[in-house]
Amino acid sequence: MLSRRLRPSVIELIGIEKHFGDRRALGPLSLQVRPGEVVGLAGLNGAGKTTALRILAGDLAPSAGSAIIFGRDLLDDPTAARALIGFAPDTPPLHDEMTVESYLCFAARLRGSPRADAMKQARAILGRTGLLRVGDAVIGSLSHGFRKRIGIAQALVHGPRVVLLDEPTSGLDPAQISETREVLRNLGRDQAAIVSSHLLGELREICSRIVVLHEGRMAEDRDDTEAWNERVIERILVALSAGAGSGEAAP
Amino acid sequence: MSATTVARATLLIATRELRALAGSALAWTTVAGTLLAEGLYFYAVGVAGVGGAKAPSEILLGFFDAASAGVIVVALLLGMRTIARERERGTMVLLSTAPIGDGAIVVGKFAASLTVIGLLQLLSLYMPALVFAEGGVAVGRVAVGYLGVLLLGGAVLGIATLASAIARTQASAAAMGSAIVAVLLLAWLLGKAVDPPWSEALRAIALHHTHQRPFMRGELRFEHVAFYVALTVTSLVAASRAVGAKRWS
Repeated sequence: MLSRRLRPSVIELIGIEKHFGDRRALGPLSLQVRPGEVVGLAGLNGAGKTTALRILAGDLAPSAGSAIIFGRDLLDDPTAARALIGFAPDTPPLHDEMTVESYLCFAARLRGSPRADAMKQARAILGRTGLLRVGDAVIGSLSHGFRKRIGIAQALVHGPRVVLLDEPTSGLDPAQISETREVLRNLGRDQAAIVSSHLLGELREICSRIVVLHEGRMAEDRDDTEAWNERVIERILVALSAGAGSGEAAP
Repeated sequence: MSATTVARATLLIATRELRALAGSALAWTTVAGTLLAEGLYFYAVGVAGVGGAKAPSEILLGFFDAASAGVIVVALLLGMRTIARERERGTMVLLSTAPIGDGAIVVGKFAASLTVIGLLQLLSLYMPALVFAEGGVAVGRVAVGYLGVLLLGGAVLGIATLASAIARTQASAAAMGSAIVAVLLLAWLLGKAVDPPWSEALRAIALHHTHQRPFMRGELRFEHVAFYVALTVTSLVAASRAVGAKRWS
């Protein structure tokens, strides 16, 4: 069996940059993610975490560079690449007037699942994400925690090869955080995930590798997450915010 | 993407949008308000004889005049919400990250709103039916009149959808769409104030005066059908490009 490092990349960012007017929000950033990896994106506010995820999800086009998902270029073949992705933004994209199950069924069909499969997928993901008891509830009537989990469920419902989660546990209670962790741990070996979070300990719990972004660029990329504790990550971020080099703050 | 995939995605979006419209107070209020206004106008002019007794053909002309005014308002209100509402609510990301083309998003939403406009016309059918029962007007004239109203509604809806794709909010989409439609409605008036060839050009783009009146009189001409279809298709293609361009902004 090939070691993780030798496996072909499922996600490849090559010199990605994003500018909003004169302001550089991201890059140049290059990153490779292999099957089975759950990569955590850490960084201060404005570091470029959300921008990187939106580019990978196909919601935002990069100003330069390319993003490749399973060999499909997001710019040249966007629909084929997007079919492989599930994206949960920080604010869940929910239709308040729909029931949870019908919404998840709609999300699955939108990603190409036939109607019969979509219904099965919706029921399955309701179970996996602890939403079974609210399956018939109207989304608009649910609490923040449930809405957040529905946002994650819609990203996973069609069984995507690449899962992108932006701040998936923000606003969840400890039990919900634990359930969300479990969902991420159960991702298949042929899947890959990128998770951004402000909760540094959270990333250490669920990720096999942590990448720290600072001012749109990669400041750290380490897969020995066991060696990372909150204090170490915090030191890196504090050093970065003070303008010091990343090497100085590395463990 | 195959044509079947595109059609499937378009239908899926149209169905969801139609369900959302069915539960929308704005859609029901707009449709009910328009029907009420058309009904009152029809009663006053056609039944009560305000402004003097009229021949059935004149009553029908008045009805289609009111119906075309109503459809412009409804199309603007429904069109403004298509894309801008998704952006306001943060749900656009669900569509923009799905493996579907921008065209399917735009056409799906347009089709749902056009269905509501069609339903509005269906509900107003009793008024021309009463005129028809009185005699003096042909079924063909009623059908051509409705075709004109639907084509006008489609064109205005297309423009409003384009405005919705460009604008960040529903309010700014409504303002932008209304401004474009107002210019096209008043083009014939502006045409009177300038010399040829500008006067002819302005008359040629007059949304109602030049292209709707023949339908109201029961005249079905290719040039007027082509004008509305071209305006609708151009607006939808531009809306689709605008949705795609937002990814780059």
